[in-house]
Amino acid sequence: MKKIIWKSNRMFKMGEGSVVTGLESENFLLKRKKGVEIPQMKAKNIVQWKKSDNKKKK
Amino acid sequence: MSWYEKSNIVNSQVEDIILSYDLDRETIVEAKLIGEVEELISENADKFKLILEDRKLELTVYHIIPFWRDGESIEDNCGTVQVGDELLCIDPEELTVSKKKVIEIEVGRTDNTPVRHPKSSNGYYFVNGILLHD
Repeated sequence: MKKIIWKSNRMFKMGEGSVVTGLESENFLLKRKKGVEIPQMKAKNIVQWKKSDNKKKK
Repeated sequence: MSWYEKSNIVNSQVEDIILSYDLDRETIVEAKLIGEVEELISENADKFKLILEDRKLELTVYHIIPFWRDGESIEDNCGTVQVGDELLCIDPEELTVSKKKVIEIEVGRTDNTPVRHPKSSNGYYFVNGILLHD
């Protein structure tokens, strides 16, 4: 894991992206469990990631 | 059995598929983490803890977040969010979203605080069930 020290607000503004997440240890993202399918009735509510999505962006 | 799991940002890795949202199509989508989840140390930056009825999230001022004020869609740094503004929240079990009001904001400064910084393929992701821009 890369570590960077930000000394001030201004320094951070100069960095790319200008984003920070997760000041607390309990911050979490949500992801699908491996090997678990989304129930059909709920699957219509989401556009699921496909391997082909990667190729389209090349 | 639940189909999703909570993944602590500390343990998230590039290539992880995470829940995200397409604001144009107003649809929940899966996205891929494409950038390194960096750990950084922030010192003396403005920080804001956004408290909703059933969830909360603390961010430094530079984090961009979509929110709604009087029905108008806004995307700006989290320092511009006010009590009463609405954030987009997800119920991951039901795969539905709803706008929930910010009921309190705690303001502070970072003090050698570890912060983490994922990047996703579509620029958005849910942290603690709240939609953020990366």
